[in-house]
Amino acid sequence: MKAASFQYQISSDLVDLLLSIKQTHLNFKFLAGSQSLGPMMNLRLAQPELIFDLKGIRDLKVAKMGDDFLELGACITHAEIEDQKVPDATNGLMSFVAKNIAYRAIRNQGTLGGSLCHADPAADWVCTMIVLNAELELVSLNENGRTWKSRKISVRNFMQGPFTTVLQENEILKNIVIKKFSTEMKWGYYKICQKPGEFSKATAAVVVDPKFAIHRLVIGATDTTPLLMEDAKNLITNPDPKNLNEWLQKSLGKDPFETQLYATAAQRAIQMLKLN
Amino acid sequence: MITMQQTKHTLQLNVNGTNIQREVEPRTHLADFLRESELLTGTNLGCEHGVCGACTIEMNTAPVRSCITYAITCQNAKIRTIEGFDSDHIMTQLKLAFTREHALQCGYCTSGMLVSAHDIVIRKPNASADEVREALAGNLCRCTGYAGIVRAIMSVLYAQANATSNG
Repeated sequence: MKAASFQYQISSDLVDLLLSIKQTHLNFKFLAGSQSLGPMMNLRLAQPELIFDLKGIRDLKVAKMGDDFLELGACITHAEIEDQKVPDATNGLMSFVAKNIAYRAIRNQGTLGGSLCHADPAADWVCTMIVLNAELELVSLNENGRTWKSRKISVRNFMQGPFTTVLQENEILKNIVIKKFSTEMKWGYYKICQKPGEFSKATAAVVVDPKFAIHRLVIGATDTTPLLMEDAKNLITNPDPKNLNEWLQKSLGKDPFETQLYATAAQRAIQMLKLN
Repeated sequence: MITMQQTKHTLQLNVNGTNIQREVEPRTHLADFLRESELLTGTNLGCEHGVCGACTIEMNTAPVRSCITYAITCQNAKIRTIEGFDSDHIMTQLKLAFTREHALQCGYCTSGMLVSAHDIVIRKPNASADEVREALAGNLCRCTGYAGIVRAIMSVLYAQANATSNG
């Protein structure tokens, strides 16, 4: 299985890249870590005529810890987060999640931003960023053609469905911005996979931060975008399987047999809160 | 029908200690480049979509899948294939342990398995057998049932730990 022919371009500058996008008439794709696009191209599910390699753009690799916010460049790899080579504002949640994404050889190449833009419903970062209520900075070329402009969007409004996001053709995800949690913040994360590293069948992520009155529960690996319960205090204090299943059946439009895996993942994620 | 002129790009990289410069098509993945252009056929291709781990090689000291990495994206990288580990002490120990513990039969997965094992020994010196199994989840072996492979890696981890505590 080999990819179909494509043309290749690599830039070291964000503005150059945005200019190139504007100028091309070819059907193009961005390539960050190529851990999802690579297989899709080998299987010929994706046949872009032109690939823009993002590897050389330093602006996409910056990690910055501010007073209230942590900014992570879109091309930071899972392994860099796993090894805590970038700062953390989530009491270890992101490192824990990264450690269990696919396999080490994949994590060495795959990127945070690439995963979000690919928008696979079973992807860990899609679910994690929603439970963290992250903001995404999307950039495009300014009218003057010499600088870039950006807009910020909540991650909740970013993914529209399976493999579909609000990204425009002339836009690129630059930063993921996470508001710092307090030291009292606790989290739980559980995914059900047939074997370690496999795509998840059901994921649950929960974050509690008493200081900011946050009790958030997210269910991932659904048929489409993750399911969010913004105020999940009742379910978290009393994770009664009956209540959980009722909520899941109603929200996902599935029968009890189908929601069982999600309910189990949610219960185990909630249990983890006590351990962390 | 769009006909696309295939533009070749100049690729410079270091393979097993030697700097090379080659012309490559963008669609050529790293594994095919290593096998067909450099005749380094120790790297095997299994699934060609990043699942089986047979093609795992080392890029800038970290294991990567060479079947879903395009050669052209490896500009100036330092690549080490199974052929490049001949003078590596840990790899020598791993190879001996694989033979001793019956960690291979047909051998198709072995070069990828060894590169991943090498990474485990370096990155997780205190790994338990369970952790080794988990770290090997990305390398499929259809012959051995993994028992011999895990035993082989554990024996190298013990040997390394003893060497450190004695020395």
